[in-house]
Amino acid sequence: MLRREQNDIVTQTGPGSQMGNLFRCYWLPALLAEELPADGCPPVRIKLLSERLLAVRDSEGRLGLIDEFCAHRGVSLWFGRNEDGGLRCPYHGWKYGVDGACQEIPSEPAESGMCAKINLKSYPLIERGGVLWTYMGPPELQPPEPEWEFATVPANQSLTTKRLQESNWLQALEGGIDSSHVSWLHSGNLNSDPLFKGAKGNQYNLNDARPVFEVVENDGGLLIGVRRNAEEGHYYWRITPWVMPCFTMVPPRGDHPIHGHFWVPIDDENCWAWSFDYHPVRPLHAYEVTAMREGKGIHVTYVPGTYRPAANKDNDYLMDREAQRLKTTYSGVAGIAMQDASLQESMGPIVDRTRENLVSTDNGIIMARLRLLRAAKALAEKGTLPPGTQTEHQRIRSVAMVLPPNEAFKDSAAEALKARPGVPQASV
Amino acid sequence: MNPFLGQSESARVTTAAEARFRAPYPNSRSRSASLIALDADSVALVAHAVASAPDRRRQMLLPDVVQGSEWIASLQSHAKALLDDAERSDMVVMVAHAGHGAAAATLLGEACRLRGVPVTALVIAGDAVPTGHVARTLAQLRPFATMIVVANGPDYVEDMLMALRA
Repeated sequence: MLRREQNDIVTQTGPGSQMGNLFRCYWLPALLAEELPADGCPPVRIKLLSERLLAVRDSEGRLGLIDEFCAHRGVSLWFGRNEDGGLRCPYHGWKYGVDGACQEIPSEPAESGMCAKINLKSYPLIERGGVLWTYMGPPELQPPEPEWEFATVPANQSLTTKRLQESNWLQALEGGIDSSHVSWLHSGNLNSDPLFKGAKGNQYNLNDARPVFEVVENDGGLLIGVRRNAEEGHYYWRITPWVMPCFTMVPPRGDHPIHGHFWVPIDDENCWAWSFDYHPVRPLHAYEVTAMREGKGIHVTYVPGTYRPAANKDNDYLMDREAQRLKTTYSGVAGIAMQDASLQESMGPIVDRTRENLVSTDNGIIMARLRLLRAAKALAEKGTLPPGTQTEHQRIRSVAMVLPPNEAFKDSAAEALKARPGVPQASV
Repeated sequence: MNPFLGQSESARVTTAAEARFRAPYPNSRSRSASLIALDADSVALVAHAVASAPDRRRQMLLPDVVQGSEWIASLQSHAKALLDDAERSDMVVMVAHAGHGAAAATLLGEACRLRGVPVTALVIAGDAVPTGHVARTLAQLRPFATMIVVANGPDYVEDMLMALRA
């Protein structure tokens, strides 16, 4: 449980909030590159951390994220004309660059100086790995550009999607570090999903129904280890990293691609669930890409023309009680992503954590909340930059491996937990 | 689909407005925890945690019996009382510092395992702990601990207990 004031801190990410300030220390995924496909293309409305913004790729190919509304009369610049190196408001012709600077006010004489005084709030937007990333904090504290492995391997080795989740970001994140739900909620998918099936590790999962959990603090966040019995007294370990504030990875299975997520607040009641799959040393197979596009693994299919999942709260997530009864799917909802999202959204937009009853296997969640609260406080009171901004914290992988019984997985898997270009993932 | 509102049940009930109508009654009883320090460095930590919530927490080994090598002997002589204590608790929390021997936990841990009392082991480590120290302590705890946490600092003991309502 959390006290009400603690729950408020970790769930509120708007401007000026403690957790909002923490999020504003990081490069965050803002859009897929496909959303701004060409120079001079239509701008895209986006809300991040409770700020309504407009993503722009101008006629010269420059990227920027600016305040959505014209400084003149508050018109949405989504209606703007993307022309000649700027975005022009169609109401009175005020024109802005991707840096938010006003370039032209047609009704005012140039010598009035009015134009130079107008500046929309703007944030940098950079492309990396098919994702447009933004940094919404103070310019003087801007960290190095993101170095996550999925975004730095060749394009044919990685695929990233995003989906709308209609809940607070922390509910979604907590699913990503809650390893104990996998044996229940996703039990129908292990041997059927083309992005999971066939791995030897699956047999360890099925043969040992009583996994044991170990949570270890790590420089960038946490490592959550789940161990099951393997041959000759050894343990099969699945190790999930969480890097602050909102990055998680799923341990790999066999030679399948590695999956992971970012959970990025849109506002306090919605978030983007970013889902990536990549292979460190080979291109993704065509059948893997097809499976991801068809909503397999951690991906979803969409309401056409949107990033809202096809199964959503408006259609009761296409709940199938017969599939639930037959255990084709454990909950009756199809697909790993929507199995999680349906339950997390059912908690309400911001779950009341004063009423929950955690148990010891929830220690990953307990520790993550604690680290977020501590980091937010240290930032607010001492200006201490939080973990996860450093490049070395981002060079991390999830791991699945068999280890002798008396070893600390953090030490024994130390090399395997590092993202190393050209080196295959440690997987079983 | 709600036939009157033309809206799915899931859409209707997951709003912030609907959240106000959740039954406002307690959904659990208070939980008790028995805490045991597995090394001398952890004794004060456990005592402090117990002192902050004496109605829900009890210390399974008094500080004045934890004296060097006599500790293990006294632990065994107190075994019956300890096991009774453990059985009355909703959870047993063992606290150890990385690198210290946790062998004293074996007797109690095995008994808890057999009797179905969940044991959470907290290992206090940190950057200064040499490689291998954590593994040594973990090896002694793994046979019976249902959950192990390796924390960088001692504050986590209190934070975890609060989060578990103990």
